Amino acid sequence: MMRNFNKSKPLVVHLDINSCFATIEQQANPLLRGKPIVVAAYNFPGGCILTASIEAKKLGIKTGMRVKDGKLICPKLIVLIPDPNKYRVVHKKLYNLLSKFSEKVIPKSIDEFVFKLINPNTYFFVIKEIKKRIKLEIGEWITVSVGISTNRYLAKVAASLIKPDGLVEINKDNYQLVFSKLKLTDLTGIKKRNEGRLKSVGIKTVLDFYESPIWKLKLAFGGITGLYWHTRLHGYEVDDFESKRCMFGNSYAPPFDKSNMPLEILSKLCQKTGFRLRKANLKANGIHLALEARDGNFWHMGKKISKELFESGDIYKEAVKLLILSPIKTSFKNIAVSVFDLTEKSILQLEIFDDVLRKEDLSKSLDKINEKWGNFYIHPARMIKIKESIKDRISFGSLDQIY
Amino acid sequence: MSTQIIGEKVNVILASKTPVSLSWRGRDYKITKIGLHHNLYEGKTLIHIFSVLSGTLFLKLKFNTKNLEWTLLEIYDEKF
Repeated sequence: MMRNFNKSKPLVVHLDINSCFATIEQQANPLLRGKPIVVAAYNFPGGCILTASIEAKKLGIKTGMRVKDGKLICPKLIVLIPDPNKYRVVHKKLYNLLSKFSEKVIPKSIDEFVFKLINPNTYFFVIKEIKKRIKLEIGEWITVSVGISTNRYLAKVAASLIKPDGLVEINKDNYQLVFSKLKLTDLTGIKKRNEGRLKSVGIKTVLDFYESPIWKLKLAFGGITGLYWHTRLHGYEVDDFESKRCMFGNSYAPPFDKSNMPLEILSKLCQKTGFRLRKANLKANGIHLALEARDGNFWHMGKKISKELFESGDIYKEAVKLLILSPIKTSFKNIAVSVFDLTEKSILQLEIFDDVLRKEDLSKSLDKINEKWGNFYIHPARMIKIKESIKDRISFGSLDQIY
Repeated sequence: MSTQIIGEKVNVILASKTPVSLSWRGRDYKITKIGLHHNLYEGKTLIHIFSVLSGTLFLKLKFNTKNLEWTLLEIYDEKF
């Protein structure tokens, strides 16, 4: 089956903040504007760069590089550590602003939003107005790239074409021109492996990809994914669904002096995980532990358990049981705990030897105290040494600490 | 050229809910630009953070809405 590009008016908008964390830091501190800066997880040579400013990107500094590599490119590079509260406030301000222009604004991550405009005749003016009001109401240094198309996917692709401060539309009249200028790997979701899959069936360009019949794409990707790609590229919606949260977790990469404190780290990670789980009114029936050693070894194990996990102490006990099974005992580079198999906590299974309801009451009371007086106001003695170490972070794609 | 953590109490003069000058270590600083104002909660206490400029000096101010105290959190000067 071959079909044409979607003929409806492009009304789906994808908006993302350019170099989000770095731009917000430059907005807060005008002395940093126009300078190469990066926001890194840690201000150490081995710290991972989370965002590079537009000026730093022009020099070749990219997200994912180490601070030392960034400084090799630009010795005067300014390194900042993240200030998540600042980014959350800007995200919320932008959400509130966009909500004035659209009935349904969907935040996709800390710096990305998708929304639909109503009037097909004024959409270009509306986007220009949004850009103007961002500068007036949020910050004059903050720029956004906007993509408009008939579905979410092409809107995202359009938003990535001109950075910073871009405004690109992909519609039935210009899709061929836009696609002809793109490489396969310029498309969101197509990197080396998928490019290899496409090349294996003779698809070498984005236009080839667009014109390929469904059977060929099914052959390349295996199954329904091929149909989804065909539908996306033709401007029809396949990504309009609410994703359901299926796990909660936290990870920590300890510095050298704390790399032999797995129990202390686990204790804090389980406290954070438990708090977030209870806040979402969920319980879990599975736990997963992943450990990475400094010598490069990696071990992970997950298991389903009959006990319903919602209390941080129980999560910790189960995590320790997994830790005992691990061949990695010292020199941890990264420790990650997560719980899965989530269900609503409204009905709890009572146990013979454990007073579950009492445990729930105690958890609720502790959560209330910690909410009132600050995170970890009451905490297990085991995590005293690590209390200040595991910092507040914004994980990629996660918005559960904002909404 | 780096950020210095200060953490000292300061006196701040406000106009239209925004800081216009502050006194720190016996010297007055006129606020020439507000970069960003954001807020957060420490427990149940609402905290306002103002990132401001006084000439070529960047200052980060914290206002605690419970005890009404202003704290100079950090400074950043291009000259140093």
